[in-house]
Amino acid sequence: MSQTRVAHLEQKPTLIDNVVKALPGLALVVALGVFAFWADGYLKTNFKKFYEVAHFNYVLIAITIGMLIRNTVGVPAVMEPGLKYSTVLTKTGIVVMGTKYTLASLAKVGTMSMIFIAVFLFGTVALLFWLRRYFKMTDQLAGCLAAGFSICGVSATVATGPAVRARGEEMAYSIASILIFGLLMLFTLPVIGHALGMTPNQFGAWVGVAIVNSAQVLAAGFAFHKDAGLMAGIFNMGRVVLLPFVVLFIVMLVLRNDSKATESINKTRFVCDKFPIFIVAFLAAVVLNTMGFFTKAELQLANNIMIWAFCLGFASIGLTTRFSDMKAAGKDGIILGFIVALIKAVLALAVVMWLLPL
Amino acid sequence: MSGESKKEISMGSEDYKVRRQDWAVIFIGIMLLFVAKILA
Repeated sequence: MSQTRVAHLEQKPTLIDNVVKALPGLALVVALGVFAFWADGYLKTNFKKFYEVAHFNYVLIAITIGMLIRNTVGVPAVMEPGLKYSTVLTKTGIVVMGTKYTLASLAKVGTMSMIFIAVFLFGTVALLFWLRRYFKMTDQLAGCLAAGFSICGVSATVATGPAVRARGEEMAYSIASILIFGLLMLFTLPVIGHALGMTPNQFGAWVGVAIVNSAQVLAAGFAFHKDAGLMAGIFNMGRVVLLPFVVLFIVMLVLRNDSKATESINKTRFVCDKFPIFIVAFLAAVVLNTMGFFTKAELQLANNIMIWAFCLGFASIGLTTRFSDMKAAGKDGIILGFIVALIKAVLALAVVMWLLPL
Repeated sequence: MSGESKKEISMGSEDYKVRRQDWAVIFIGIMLLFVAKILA
């Protein structure tokens, strides 16, 4: 018994162990980030025409080169632990991004935008559950896909999976489908946005609803224009705030035939447990900026920190994207998810172009 | 019994992982804001 306990204690890594293990991978991420910024400047100076037409900035460079490394020469096993911090990096970037806004600028986005986001979130879930009768899949997988394709690729699936009693592979499948979709959209939507002559605000609002993974939303926005990235950030935040409510809606849909289970859910507790609390730090940054806590020079440095956090997050995403995972994800879920997401993207495009005052 | 099932449905181990990650993000984010404040 005591030997087992000793073995257990020996196996549990400390925080320092984790940091040391992560260093080689983090070094690779930083190296890729530095290269992406250098290449961005090089292309801007020496291939101005290509840069302006292709909009191949540091965001797309970091993701593309990362994917190329992962799927060609591969990444040594010793570097793997340091590559799993993309979510932490992008979420940290979002917190610092709070210094780009004031309470007045958030209010300007307005009630109409929040209604727009909410309608599309709940609409996506309803549409997916209505269309799923034509596809072979469990209620649990449909629940994970609905969460991922409506709110936020990874976080929402992780929040929904245990609540609808989905299996690990159903959650993994859902996450893979969403990331594939996001990756395709990340490269396609900026081209469509430029072809349609969208303003940065319109484009930011569009990708903020059409793409679901937070990092990919921000990447697509910043790939289009700096202001589009900031607007995409606000819309992304609006979506994330609604996460617990949409997840609750999905849980009720999945468990609708099990009256005992639905009755046993403590809805207030559920919403509190699923609430993404990092948003509080984002709002604290907004409030501090509104109060004039930061000088111009401090805001500039905060902006640089934000860009670096995002760039390193995007580099990590590229370095962990395996083409083989995409192949292994199978057909049905991807097809259903893509149909729903494309319908949502087209409708959202119409709304931001003609209805939403941006 | 009903209390147990309420707990099981509302918060899984993945939720705790996400919550821990969010606290880490809040800590790092606020720290970076102070870094910007001090270094600029």
